[in-house]
Amino acid sequence: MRILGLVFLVFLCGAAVAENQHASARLLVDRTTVAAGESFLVGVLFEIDPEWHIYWKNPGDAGMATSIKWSLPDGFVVSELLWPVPKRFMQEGDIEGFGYEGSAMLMARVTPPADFTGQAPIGAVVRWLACKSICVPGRASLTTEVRVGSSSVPANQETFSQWLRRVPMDLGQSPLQVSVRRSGMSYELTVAGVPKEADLEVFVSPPEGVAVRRVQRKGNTAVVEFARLAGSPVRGSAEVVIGNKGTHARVVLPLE
Amino acid sequence: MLRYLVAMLVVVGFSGFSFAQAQAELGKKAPEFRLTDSAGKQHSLSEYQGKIVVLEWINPECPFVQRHYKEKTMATAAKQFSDKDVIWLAVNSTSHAKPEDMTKWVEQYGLQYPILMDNSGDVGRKYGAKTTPHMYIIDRQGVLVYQGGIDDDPSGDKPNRTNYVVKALTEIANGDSVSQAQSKPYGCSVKYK
Repeated sequence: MRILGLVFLVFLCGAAVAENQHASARLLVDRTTVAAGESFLVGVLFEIDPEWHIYWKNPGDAGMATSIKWSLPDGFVVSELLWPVPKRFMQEGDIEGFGYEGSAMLMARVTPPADFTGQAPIGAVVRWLACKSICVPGRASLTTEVRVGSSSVPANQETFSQWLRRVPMDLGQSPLQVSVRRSGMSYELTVAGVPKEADLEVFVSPPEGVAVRRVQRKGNTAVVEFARLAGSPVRGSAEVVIGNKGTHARVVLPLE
Repeated sequence: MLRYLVAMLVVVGFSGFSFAQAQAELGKKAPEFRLTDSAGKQHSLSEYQGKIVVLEWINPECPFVQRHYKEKTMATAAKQFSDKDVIWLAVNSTSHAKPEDMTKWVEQYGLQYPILMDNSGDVGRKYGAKTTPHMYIIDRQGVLVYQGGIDDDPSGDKPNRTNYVVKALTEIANGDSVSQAQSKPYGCSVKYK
């Protein structure tokens, strides 16, 4: 596996510490060779400076979601990002944030067209905001390639399986039993088999036009209250990542 | 008589307390504040009664704020509405912000509006300011009519951004009500004490 690594790093805002973005990003593929028509995983692995963090798909009250713009040959289909379960940060002033410390990998599944063979270049323009007491925006333009041929040759298996384990499973596939009850803009989610109150973790990502008003946890139940942003149309559904002890389910909640 | 005095003190004390704690809420009267700007001049919300007041939470150390100042987002909007009874006030609730640094920032960008110092974070907390920038618009009646982001472009790369504050101020200037009264603010977290 050839890693071209950070091809270039651009500093968006001319902040003072241009030599250090407090996080670095590498582009990885879970194969060196992909069998024709077979899907594979691409991932951007972030190494984050101690005490700094980058952000989840919903950064919370402040911050900025990490983003990846993929470029792939024509006809390649790329999934939405697979986000590992984040951590929760609380700052003075009741400012709640969600993100990652240490390291994190954001992944996506790529499916080449059935008739494609040969070298496939893969590009990723990655943007993040690294924060500690100050915030520093980061950007990296990464490239690598994968061969689409007759057989499949795996690579980076340990890294991918380590991070895939941390991605919450869709409710249907998850070992967790979550019952969902809606009442207007409020949802009650009850997880079977979670005994202790302190253990239930809940991360909410609202759709455009909606804010999370409150998340309350009681025993194995979480109540998530949403509020429409006045004058904004609601687009899409909310996502809730719920669980404990490394087992989380991803629940999609319609709000329209 | 003593009992009456005590009761009165309790009432005064209590109303003082509730006044201080009143939280900004969309569609309701915006909480009063009194702050000193980086040049030493006092400002209160009540002194601008009858005008439209824009509050912009600012922290020049924040890259989102830096980007908007390089792009002149705030200065352009403030100038566009300066003859339409709009008072633009930047508020810095960063615990360690120094007035002399804010004065330098005002000079560096040739700002026509002041930066109000809120080191205690009391006004920021009262308004629920979470990010820099975080924007608020208070109408001529003193009612909070907008709160949220400056625009719909956190990463600063949209070709056609909607500036929510400009949109709301335009609607107010036209005598219309604000169509989008709320959006998700984005930026750095306010660095409260």
